Amino acid sequence: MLNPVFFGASSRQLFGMYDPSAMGGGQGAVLCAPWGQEYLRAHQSMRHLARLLARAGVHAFRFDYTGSGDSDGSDLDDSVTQWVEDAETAIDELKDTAGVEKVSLVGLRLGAAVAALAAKRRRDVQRLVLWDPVFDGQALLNALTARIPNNQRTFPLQISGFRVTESAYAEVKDVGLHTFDGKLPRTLIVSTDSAESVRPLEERMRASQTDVVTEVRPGPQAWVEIGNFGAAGMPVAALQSIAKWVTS
Amino acid sequence: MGDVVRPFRERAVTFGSGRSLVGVLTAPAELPDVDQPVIVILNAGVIHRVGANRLHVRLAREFAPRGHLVMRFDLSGIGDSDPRGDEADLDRAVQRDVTDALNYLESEHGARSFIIFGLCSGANNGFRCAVADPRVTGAILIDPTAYPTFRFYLTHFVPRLLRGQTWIRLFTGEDVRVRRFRDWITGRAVPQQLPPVPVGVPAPTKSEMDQGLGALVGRNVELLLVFTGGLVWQYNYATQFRDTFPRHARSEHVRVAYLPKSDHTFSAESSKTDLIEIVLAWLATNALRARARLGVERLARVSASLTVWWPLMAAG
Repeated sequence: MLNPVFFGASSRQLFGMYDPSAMGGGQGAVLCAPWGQEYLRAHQSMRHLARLLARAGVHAFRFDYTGSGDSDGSDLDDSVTQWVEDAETAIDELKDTAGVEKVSLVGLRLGAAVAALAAKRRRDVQRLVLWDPVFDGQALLNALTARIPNNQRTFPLQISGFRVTESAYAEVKDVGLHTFDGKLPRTLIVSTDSAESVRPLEERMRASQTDVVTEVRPGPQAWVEIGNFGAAGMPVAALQSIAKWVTS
Repeated sequence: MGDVVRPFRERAVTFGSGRSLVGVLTAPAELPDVDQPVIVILNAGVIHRVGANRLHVRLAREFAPRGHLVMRFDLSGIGDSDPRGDEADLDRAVQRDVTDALNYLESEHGARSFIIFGLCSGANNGFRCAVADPRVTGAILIDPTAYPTFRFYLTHFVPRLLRGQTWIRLFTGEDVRVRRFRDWITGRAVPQQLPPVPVGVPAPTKSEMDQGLGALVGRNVELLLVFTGGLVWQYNYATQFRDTFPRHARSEHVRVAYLPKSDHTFSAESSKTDLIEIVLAWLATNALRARARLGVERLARVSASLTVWWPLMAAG
């Protein structure tokens, strides 16, 4: 059953898609999307993950950040701080709708940093999944801006079809290993690449006493465009691992 | 984002068989103008209803404050909509999805006429749906399939033939076509093992487009066709549409714009604003023409009633 909703303050509505648990269970999961073009390309994978979770007995909730997807605002409103607030609003919405008391947060790419920051502010997040997480914002921005000529590097920067303000740029740049510091809920890091690619993060989180495990599930990167179609491949093994771990 | 009063309202909806299609309605903050057609925005390729670079969201929020109700929705199997269980043929599935959307807007929101907006495959789908459904009174087709003309080939090949690099590649055998020809001559060509895999709905043929345009113009459907520089292998000069379909291009119902500096998905902010400006100007002209037509119809009704009453009054 499809349950698309607008939620949040009437002056700043967020779009969400609720997939109720097929078994009426007591668990919930909020999915935090990636940023910009990565969000568009990963849409099918996020949708499929929500379906897998719902079939496994978890009430799943996807949502669009302020300035992205169907939510209010434009790309000029992009802000990591705002996205964390949005994630919290989404958690409250899922708890109200599904009647669950605790939730898991699943974040893909930059959404992993958003999920970690939101988890730090809450007592009702019991599990955290960091799926191919971004923990070096500067490296992400370097990759996204590599082909922009120097004479076009003025704010708002035009990156892959979206405008990026100076403040949003600074906030994304500030995402680093320190973003995941402090004791976080029990965490699964999922990499579609290799254990080495996420080892610095895993070690940093262990140093903060977070109970963290890493699973490597080689497969397509959900945010990398295939051909020229505007969509990416679906890492089925990674999605199955996430659903299994959240319900274990 | 500041807490400002928005000039539009948005609502998520599900409709169609089993409520399996998902859409977002964008409405004016006040009641929609009932004389304005409802605008239905189709998916571009497999990108979900927000559109490439979120273009569809931006357009919907520009259209609504001008009195239009706007629906962006996902065709079955795309974005959040489930695949249809009742239709194997993709082309017919698209037609049924759009019919479901128009039926929903008609029954739930009192829509009487529609403008279909589509980009890329959305333009081809929109074209076919406009031909098939008489409720469609306008279509905005961005980068629909285009057809080569003699001048297209000149524009394509002459600059290449004037470049020294082209000849160097030809004579050194670097050019892939020369290599293929050489392999074919020497018998080294590898035969095609597998038939090509059909992807998506086939594009309309030139003959289908010609007939369809004729039908739409005959029905007084207002058409805006926009071609970008993003598909130069299909469309590479401003008047290519006019040279391909001269009869239709002369129609007062057909408007064509060419944005050679824009890419196919309007990545640059300037391209987006150019497109928005063109579409809004076209909508405003259409609204004026529709009002003028309505005015003429009302005048005709008044004049008809006068012809009945005037002789009676004169006789009285």
